[in-house]
Amino acid sequence: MAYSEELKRLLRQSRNAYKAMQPDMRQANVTHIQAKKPLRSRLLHAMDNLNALSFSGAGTMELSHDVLFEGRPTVRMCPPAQVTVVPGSLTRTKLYGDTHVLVRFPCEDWRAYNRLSLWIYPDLPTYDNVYFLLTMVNDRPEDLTRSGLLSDTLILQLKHGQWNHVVWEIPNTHRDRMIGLQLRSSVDGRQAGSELTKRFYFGPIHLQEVEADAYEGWMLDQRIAFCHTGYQPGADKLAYTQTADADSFELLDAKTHEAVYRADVKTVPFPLGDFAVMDFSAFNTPGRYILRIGSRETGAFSIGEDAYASATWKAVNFFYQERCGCALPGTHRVCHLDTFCQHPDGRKISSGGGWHDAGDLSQGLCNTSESAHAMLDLAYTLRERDPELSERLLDEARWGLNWCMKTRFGDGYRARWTRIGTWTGNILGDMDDLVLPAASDPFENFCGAAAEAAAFRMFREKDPAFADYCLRCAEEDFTFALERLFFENDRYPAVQSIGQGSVAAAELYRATGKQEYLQQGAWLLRQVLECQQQETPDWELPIRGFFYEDHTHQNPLNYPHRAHEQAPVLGLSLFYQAAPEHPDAPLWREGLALYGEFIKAIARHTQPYGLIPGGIYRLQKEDSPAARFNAQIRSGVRLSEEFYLRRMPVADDFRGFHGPLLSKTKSAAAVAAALNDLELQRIVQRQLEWILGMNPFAQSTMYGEGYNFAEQFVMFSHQIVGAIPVGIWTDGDHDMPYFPQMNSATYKEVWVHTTSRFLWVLADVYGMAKVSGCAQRQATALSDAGQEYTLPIQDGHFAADLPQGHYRLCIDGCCFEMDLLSGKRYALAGKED
Amino acid sequence: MTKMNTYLLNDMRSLSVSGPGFIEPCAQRLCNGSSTVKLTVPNTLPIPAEGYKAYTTLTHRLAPQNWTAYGRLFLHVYPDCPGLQCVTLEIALCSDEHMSAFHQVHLTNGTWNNVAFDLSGVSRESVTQVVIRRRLTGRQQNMSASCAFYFGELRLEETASSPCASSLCGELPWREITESALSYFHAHRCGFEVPGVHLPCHSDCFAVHPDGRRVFLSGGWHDLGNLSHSLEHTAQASQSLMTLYEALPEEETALRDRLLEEARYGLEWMQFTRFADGYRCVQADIPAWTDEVIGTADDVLCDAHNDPYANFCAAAVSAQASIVYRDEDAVFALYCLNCAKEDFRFAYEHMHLHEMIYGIRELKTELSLHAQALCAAVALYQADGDAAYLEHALHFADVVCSCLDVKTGIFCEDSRLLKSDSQQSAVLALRGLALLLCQAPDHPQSTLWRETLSICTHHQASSAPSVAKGMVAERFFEELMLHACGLSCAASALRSSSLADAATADLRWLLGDNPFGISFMNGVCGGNLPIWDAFCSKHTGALRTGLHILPDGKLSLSVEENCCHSEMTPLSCLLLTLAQCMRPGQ
Repeated sequence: MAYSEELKRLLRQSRNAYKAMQPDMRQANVTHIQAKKPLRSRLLHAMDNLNALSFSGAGTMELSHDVLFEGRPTVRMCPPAQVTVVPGSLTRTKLYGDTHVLVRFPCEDWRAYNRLSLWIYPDLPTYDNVYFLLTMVNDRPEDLTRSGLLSDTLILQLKHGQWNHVVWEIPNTHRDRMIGLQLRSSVDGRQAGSELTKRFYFGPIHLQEVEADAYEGWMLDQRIAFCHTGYQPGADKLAYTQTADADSFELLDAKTHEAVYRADVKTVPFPLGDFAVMDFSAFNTPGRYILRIGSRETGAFSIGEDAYASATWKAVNFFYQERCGCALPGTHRVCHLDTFCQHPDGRKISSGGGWHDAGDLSQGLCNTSESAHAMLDLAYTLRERDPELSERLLDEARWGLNWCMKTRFGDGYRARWTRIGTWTGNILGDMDDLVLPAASDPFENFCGAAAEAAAFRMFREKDPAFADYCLRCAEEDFTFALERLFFENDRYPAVQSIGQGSVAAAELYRATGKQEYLQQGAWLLRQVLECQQQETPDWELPIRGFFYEDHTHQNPLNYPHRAHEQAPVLGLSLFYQAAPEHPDAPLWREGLALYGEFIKAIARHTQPYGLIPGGIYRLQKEDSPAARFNAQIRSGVRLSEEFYLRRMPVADDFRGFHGPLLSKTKSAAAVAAALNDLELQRIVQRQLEWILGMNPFAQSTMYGEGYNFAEQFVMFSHQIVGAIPVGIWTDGDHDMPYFPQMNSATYKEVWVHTTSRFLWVLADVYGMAKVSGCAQRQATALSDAGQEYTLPIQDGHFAADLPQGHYRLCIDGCCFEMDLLSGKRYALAGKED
Repeated sequence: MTKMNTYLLNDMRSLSVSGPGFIEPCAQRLCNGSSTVKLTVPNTLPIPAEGYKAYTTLTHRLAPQNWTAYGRLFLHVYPDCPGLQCVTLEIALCSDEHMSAFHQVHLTNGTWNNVAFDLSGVSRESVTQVVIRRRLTGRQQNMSASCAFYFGELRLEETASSPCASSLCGELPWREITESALSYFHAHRCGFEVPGVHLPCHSDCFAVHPDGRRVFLSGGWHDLGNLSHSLEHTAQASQSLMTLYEALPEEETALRDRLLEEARYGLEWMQFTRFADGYRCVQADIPAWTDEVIGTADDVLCDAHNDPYANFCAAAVSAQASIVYRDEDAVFALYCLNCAKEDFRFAYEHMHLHEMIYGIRELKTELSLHAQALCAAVALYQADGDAAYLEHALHFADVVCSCLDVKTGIFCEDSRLLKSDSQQSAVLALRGLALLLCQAPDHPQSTLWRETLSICTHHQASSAPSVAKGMVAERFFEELMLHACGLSCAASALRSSSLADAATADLRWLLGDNPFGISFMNGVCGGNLPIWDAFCSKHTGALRTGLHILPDGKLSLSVEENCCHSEMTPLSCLLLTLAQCMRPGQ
């Protein structure tokens, strides 16, 4: 696959993502924000005295002349990295504590201002990463009791040994009765060799007014929403803005800046408002381009088969930089050897290895195994299209698989979730050891079994010994899970566990061909289908095809944060493709078709973005604890007296919706693959575009990819190129996207869950359609767009890569029409692959 | 016509087993249409202390036979060892009640293997037994509880083996050497999975502090022909890799990156196996695979020590790392420097306690201890610039110089007792003096250092290790590479091209300019000799420790444990020599 020069350079620098990729900070949101000139500015605190300052937590605060700011003394805060605790008492604690300087204010109204500016000098030469937090304190009861997850907090990555100028746009924050600003440092442990005490120096703090970035809503104003990574041939190629200052737009060659394509801008009324549409779907010439409308230009993007290459390599870089256990130069040394999962019988396994899960240092089997599974599937798709990337994905998947298999005791018990929020010293028997219970959980064992079975398929030829071990683990784990399914107090919705069971059964069936897995899978899928809304409900706006949490059809299946909606659909899809002659196959097909119908129906409500909405919600009884969600539910689109469609998911504290979005997207991709549904695949691609810039903020949400990417919440490493955060969220009860600069957890926290789902979706759409078959004389393909392709014939066979689209194919005089989907293989003389 | 003779190994009456395991006739898996014998061997024992060194031995008894007419013995065997990525057996002959050395063969799992045992040099006038044994290797999670070996036939052939000849032409193939060495180190990594070698390993092995705390041993490199670790060898390896990194041209970005990455793998192990109070893992004997579960019978525990020699050794390499990694990773570099300073202090505080020097663990002599201390002090002076380290270095250099017998040019282990020389200590002394001379070339004492280097290397240059007919030199290549290393250290300090040529000649001997016309480094100059290794089948870059020369002057091709296993030390010396001979202008 031909890469852009920029990507080639990045891969050389990073040795194919075996060394940290460096972001192009010219394209970072923080660079753009820092460059803004304040319209006015007010000194909040000079920080050259201790007036109106108080200190909380372990450590000290004092006036210092060690580090001066413009010749003036500064305030020094010295929190400890670690505090003495009783050995073993940290089993459920993420951090040792929090320490902060509180800058006090006399209940001020800051609404005339929208930016904070301050200076911080960290002196931490023995720390790989220096992070710091700012939290605004507003004196209203609802603000003071807000969860830390929803507080107005900015997390900063600072450079050691220099003054860091920090600016924070705060137009979204609650600031009418400001009583304080916390300058915070977490007591988060230390690696061997890191100093016991941290030192931060503070310079002046100003309140400022600037032209702030947009942070909520669907409107674009002057911004141009487009897919920053690019578009594959044959894909819809759309860009939007709110108002057009020209009748036409142009595509410019990124190198020469010469116009290569021109078309009219159309203003179209959509459910979310009027938008100017720039449609260049007809343009398929590979290259790098810039879009120009009037005086506005976008950054360069790709059109071509490599459109997703950069984002994929960067996602791999993210996983590599999240590796636990080993040393990662510049990020951490060998880590977490002294964290353990413990079997009820007392045996332990060190849980170092795998990947840190998110912005902290936790690890979980579900996310690790699903991440590995996603990489294996994408590696399979790319095995011929891009062998180098395919191999790299396999290597990274193997890293996760090894953790999954190492942390199992071989009797069903295994590390399920190791909640780690501190560095540890790698010495067993000292105070910072972490011991967490192992568990035997059906859903988690199904997750493990599915990934392990998929690994067998991928490694069978290149490393049979490893593959055999993967398969052995998969078969055992499937058995453990099945034995406990329905007999445990499952923490998850029934359809999730059953659905994941069907995925594991399907992967085992694909791996072994054993009929027992087909039978067990069919049994599980019958229960999955009982959870689906298959009849047309008697609603004002009837929608069907979605899943409920269980067969009682009480609550639709929805997720606020970590999401597994793909499990039941993927099970149906895999079995439908692997065993199309099975007596239940028509039922599976119907279930898939209904789910596809559901996705198409709800995606119309978010045009022009075509975002797959959060889901269908049922109002909760007013006397139930869940009634607190009713206000959010009612702010959605009314479907009936009881049911509403929310464009964004309903959530409590844990907000950020890329997880639910990409889980639904994976479901849609699975249906598209099984039913060869081009319309659905185009919807799938729109979701990837949302992640990569086609959103109201015109921000790529993958760090280091595209343009205007924002700082994410990551405490224990630098900002990581390729990280996709928990996701765009909502404010209060609103049903519209919310994405301020503030980067508190969870919504802007980096996460393997979201990044892996991005890869998993790519497994279904990456690259052009591969067609092959037998022909003696002639093989042609005529696309709906009027492009005719002659498929080269050699030795009675033809093989070609074609852009996605609807075609009329003629092979040796036999003509037929069909859709060809990106990322899919077609054996035209026989069955689809 | 080739003379042949065949014996079937399916007569239970002629077979016996000792050790864990059992044999049984097998009619299901046939060899050339005949039934076979199945030997079932556990991979580990309930009590690992026994299992670690345990063998299962299958003996095939014969009426006394004269096999002198035959040159090779072939064994037809089918191993069924689920999960094992390295499957070996060992074979010996018993003739006139004399047991030959065991010869190791590597087998391919799940298929019939026809493996050869070279009989040259094996006494075989009256063969009464063919002895086949299987070492119990322990068990990783993916390995089955037991292995099965199906034996078909033994076949004698007249033809003897002959090694593939290779030759070394032109310049030293530094790229080939570097890439092969990196491959060797990577294949011997402990801790995380090495595809084709092992799953994640040894996370249930610990060094124990006297106060009960433990550090994990998983990491670093497997060494000593099994799965053990040695601080000294790890430090040597990291030092060599870093020195080679510094010597390679800057445009060799990818190769230099890999050198740094691999060196850091060893450095990290050295650092996380220290308790930061002087105690650390100095040596860990790990003879088997373990199950990664803490609290089971196969956990390995070894004592941590506060050992001055080890701490000087660690200080020297950590100080070097603090310079090498400064641009790449400043935080890590600072950590290395801090470790180096601490370790130097721990070592210095304890080196004067006589019993600490001579009382515990391996005997470290006055020369070796002071030479290592000298290397550490000079490295710290170079890294930190603190003149106190130079003062220490001057003192240590005095002691080192006083250990030289100026009449013979031989370093003695003790300035008073003038014990016999040791090549390893001499190389340390040469390296320490060479480093000091580079850092303080104009110091008043520098004349003494130069003289010491000159006298010693004069002796060294005229006393290269050599081979002779009938010789079993178990550590020949270690001595040869130490010799080369010592010369190259002096060459770089004295800017002597003749010494550099002498050092290079040793490397050339190793790589093919030798009477046998073969390269002893696998993967370089066509070298492809079998290596004794029960745990790893990837032998690119492996260097045997020694060699066995038959009375007729030919090289024995028997894979004997004592001289055919590989260790890191000779390879580290080779890389250090290469680096020092490659330095620009020298």
